[in-house]
Amino acid sequence: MVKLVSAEGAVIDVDRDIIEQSALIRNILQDVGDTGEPIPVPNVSGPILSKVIEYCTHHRDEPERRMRSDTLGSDSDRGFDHNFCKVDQGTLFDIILAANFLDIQPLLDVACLTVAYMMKGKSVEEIRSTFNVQNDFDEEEEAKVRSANAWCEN
Amino acid sequence: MTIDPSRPNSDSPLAPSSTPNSAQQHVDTLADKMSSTLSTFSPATTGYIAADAQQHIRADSHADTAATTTAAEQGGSERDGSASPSSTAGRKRNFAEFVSGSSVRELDLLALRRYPAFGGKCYRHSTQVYLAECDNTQRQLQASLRALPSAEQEKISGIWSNFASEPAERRLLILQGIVNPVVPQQLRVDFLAAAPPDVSLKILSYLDAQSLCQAAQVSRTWASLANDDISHIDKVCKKCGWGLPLLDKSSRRVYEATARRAMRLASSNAIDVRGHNKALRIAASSTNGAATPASGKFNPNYTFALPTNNVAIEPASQILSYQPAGESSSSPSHSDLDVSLVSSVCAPQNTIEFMQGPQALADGGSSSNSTGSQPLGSISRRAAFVHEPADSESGNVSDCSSTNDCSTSRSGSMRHKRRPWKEIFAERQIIANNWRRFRYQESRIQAHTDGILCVQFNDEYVITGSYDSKVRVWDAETFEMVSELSGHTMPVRALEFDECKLFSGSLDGTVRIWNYRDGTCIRTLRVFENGGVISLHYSGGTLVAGGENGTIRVYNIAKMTSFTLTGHTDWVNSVKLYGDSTLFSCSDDMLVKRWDLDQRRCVRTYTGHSHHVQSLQLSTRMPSSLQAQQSSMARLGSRAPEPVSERPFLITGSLDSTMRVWDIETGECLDTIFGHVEGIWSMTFDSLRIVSGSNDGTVKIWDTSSHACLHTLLASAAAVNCVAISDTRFIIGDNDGSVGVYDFRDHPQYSH
Repeated sequence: MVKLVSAEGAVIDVDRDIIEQSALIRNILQDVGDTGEPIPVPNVSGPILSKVIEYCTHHRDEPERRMRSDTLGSDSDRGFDHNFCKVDQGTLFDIILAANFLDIQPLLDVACLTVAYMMKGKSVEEIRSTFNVQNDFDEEEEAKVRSANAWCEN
Repeated sequence: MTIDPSRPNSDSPLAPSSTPNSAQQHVDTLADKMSSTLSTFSPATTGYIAADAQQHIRADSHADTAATTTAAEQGGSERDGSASPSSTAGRKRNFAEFVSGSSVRELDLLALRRYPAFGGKCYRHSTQVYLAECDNTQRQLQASLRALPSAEQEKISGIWSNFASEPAERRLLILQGIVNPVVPQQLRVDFLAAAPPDVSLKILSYLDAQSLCQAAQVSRTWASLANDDISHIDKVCKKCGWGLPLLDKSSRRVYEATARRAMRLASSNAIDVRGHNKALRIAASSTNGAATPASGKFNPNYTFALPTNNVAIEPASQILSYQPAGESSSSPSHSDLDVSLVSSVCAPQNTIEFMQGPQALADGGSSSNSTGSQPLGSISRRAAFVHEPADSESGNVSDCSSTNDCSTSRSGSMRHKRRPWKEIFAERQIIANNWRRFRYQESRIQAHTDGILCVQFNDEYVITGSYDSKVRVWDAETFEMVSELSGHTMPVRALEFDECKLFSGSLDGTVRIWNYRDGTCIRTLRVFENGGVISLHYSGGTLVAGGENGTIRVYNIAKMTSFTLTGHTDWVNSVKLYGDSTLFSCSDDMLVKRWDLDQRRCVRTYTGHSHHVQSLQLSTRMPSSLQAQQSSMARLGSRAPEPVSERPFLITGSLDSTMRVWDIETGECLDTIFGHVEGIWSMTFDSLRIVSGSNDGTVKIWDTSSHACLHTLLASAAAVNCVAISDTRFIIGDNDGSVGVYDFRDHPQYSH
C-alpha cells in the first residue's frame, strides 16, 4: 500500500503495483524505498487522482504496457480507455496534466488521442468553438494563414 | 383590503406596461421555460411534474386575469392581503409570499377558493416544497426582470413568448442553443494553449495533415504549434502514415538547386550557377577515373573499378558507397553485403546519397565550404546511412525525416535550410491530387527513328533503347540528348542503369556496360552465342540476362563469374531478382518461373497466361513494413488506406491482354486484371499504381491494391512498347520511336 496525498491534502491508499504504472511514483519508491510515508502529489486534485487510479487499476495486470500510437491496445482495452476519456474537457485536461506529471505514458497517449479526435476533421471555426479559442489573428494574418493552408482542402 | 376591479393593470407600479394578455403570455413562457428546464434534468417523472406546474402557473394567471375583470370572484379574496394584487406578476409574487407562510390546510382552502376549475385538488399547491422552490425562482426572475428598463423587459418577454410558441421538442433545441454557448464556456479548455508544449505537440502528433492545417488557422498559439517542424516532420509524417507518394529525387533536386542558387547569390559569388553546373557535370564525367577529389566536390565523379579497369578506390568512398534507389519502389534496399559488392564495382568518390538532403549539395556548391575534409563528410554520411534503413521501412510514406536526420547530423549551421513540413507535404499532396484527377503535363520526344523497345529513367536521365541499335540518354527535365551510345549491332531490347553505369542488352547477344554520362563503353559481355539478349536485371552486384534461346544467364559482376539457367523454351521477356538468391522470369512460352540461384534450378512455375508473357514486376516491399504502415495509417483513419495485399506479390502482363497478380510464395493467381483490348507489351507498377501499355496504343493506370482501372489514355498511334513509372511521372516509348513523358508535378515554385 502506498499513500498518496492529493492537492487538497486528502490521503488516498493505493496498491503499490497499481500506482507503479506512474513512472514518477515508481522512481520515488525505488529511490526512497517504501517508507510508508505518504507521497505528496501536489499537482493532482483528489477526484482526478481517483480517476487516474481507476485507470491504473484497470490496467494493473498489464505490466510495461506501452500504449504506443501504433498499438492501441486490444479492443476491450480500447473500449475502456475510450470510455475513460469520455469526460468533460476540464476533467480530461486535468487527466492529461496528471498523466503528464505522474508520467503514465499510456494514459497520456490515450488522453491526447482523445483530444486529437476532438480536433480531427473539424473546420477552423468548429475547433475554435469546441475549445473556446479566441481568434487572435488580425485580418491580414488570417488571410495569409488561410492561403498557406489552402492546399490541404482540395 | 379590497381591490378595485375597475383599476387597470397598467397602473401597477410593478409591471407598468403589462396588459393582462401580455402578462398572461409572460407567465406562460415562464411556465414553459421551467418545464423545459425541468425536463432536461430528469426523465419522465419530472416531465409530468413540469407539465403539472406549468398548468398551474397558467391557471394562476388565468385566474388573475379573470380577477381583474370579475368583481364577484374578487369579492371573496379578502385573505389575499397583498399590497398590489392587480398586476399578474405582482399577484403571483404575493401569492407565493403569502402561501409560503400558510399551513397546508389553509393552502388547500386557498386553492379551493382560488382555483375552482381544479376543485382545489391541486397536488402542486398542496406541496410546500414545490411552492417554495417555485417561489424562489419566480421571485428572482421577476425581480431581475423588474430591475430592467421597460424596453428590455419587453424584449425579454418577447423572447420568452417566442420560445413558448414553439412545440416542445423545438423548445429543447432552442434551449440548448441558448445554454450551450453560455454555460459550458467555462467547461471548455483550450488544450493546446493550456497544456505544456510537449503535451500539445503530442496531441497534434495524432492528427493528419489536413486537420493540422485547420489547427494552424485557429490562433497564433495553435499556429506556432501546428507548424512546428521538428515534431511534425519527424514524427507526424511517419507515424500517421500520410500515404502520399514518395517524391523522387528530382523535386528535391529542384529545391536544392534553388537553395544553392540562393546561397550563391548571398555569398555574391559571381558565377553563372547553371552554366557552371552543367559544365562541371560534363567535365566531371569526362575525367573518368582521373578526377581529383577537388573537381569531384561539386558534382559526383564516378570511378569505375571493374576488374579489368585498374583504378584505385579511395578508401573513404569504400566506407560508404550507397547505391541510390533510382527506382525507389522497385529496387530492394541493399544489405551491407550488397553495398560492399557495389562499391567494389563502382566507387563514386563523392557518393551521391539518396538521402543526402539539401545541405549536402549546398556544401558542394558553396566555395566557402568546399574545404570540408573528406573523412568528416564520410562519417556524417555514414551516420545518415545508419538512419536510412529505419526510414525505408516506412516505404512510401516519408523520406523527409532522414533528410533531416542527415541535416542534424551535419553541422548545425545548415539547419536553417530544412524545408518546412508543410511545404513538403503540400508538394506531395498536389502530386497525389494530380494523379487522382489525371492532370499531367505531356512532353513528346522523337527519340529514335525506329521503334523504342525499352525506356528507363530516374530523376536525372531518361534512357531509351531502340530498334535502331542505339541507346540514347536524355536529360529528364529538359529532354535534351545527353549522349548517344552506339556499339550494338542489333536492336537494344533491355536496359538497366544506376547512378554510374548502364547495362544494355541487345539482340546481337551482348550486354554492354557504359558510362552513360559521356557515352563510353566500358565493357562488352558476350552473353549468348546463339541469340540475343531480351531482358536484363541488375541488383546488388548480380546481373541477370534473359535470352532469345530461352536460357537465363546470371553474372556476379564483381567476380565476373556466371552460370546458366535453363527451363524456358522461348524468349525470356523479363527477369527480376528477388532478394539475394531468388529470380523470377517470364517468357514467350506463357510461363512464369521462380528460380533458386543457390540451387540453380527452377523451383516453381506459374501457369495461367494464354499468350506470351511480356512483363513481370515484383512488389518488393516486405510484409512487415506494410503491416506497420497499415496499422499506423488505420489509427486515425487519416487516409483510409486501401487494403494492400500483405504478402509479396508479382504482376505479369501478357499479350493475352490481361495482367495476373500472383502470390510470390504460393504461386497462387490472386487476380486477373482485365481491361485492355489488345495485348499488353509492357507493364510496371509501384506501390500506388500500375501502368500498362498495350498494342493498340493505349495506356492504362490501375490501382495497385484494388486493381481497378483508374485512367485510360490513348498515348500513341502505334503500339506502346515500354512503360516506366515513378512517383511523379510515367514515360512510354512507342513503336514509332517517340517517347511520351507524363508529368504529374505542378510547376515547382519555391519561395526559397
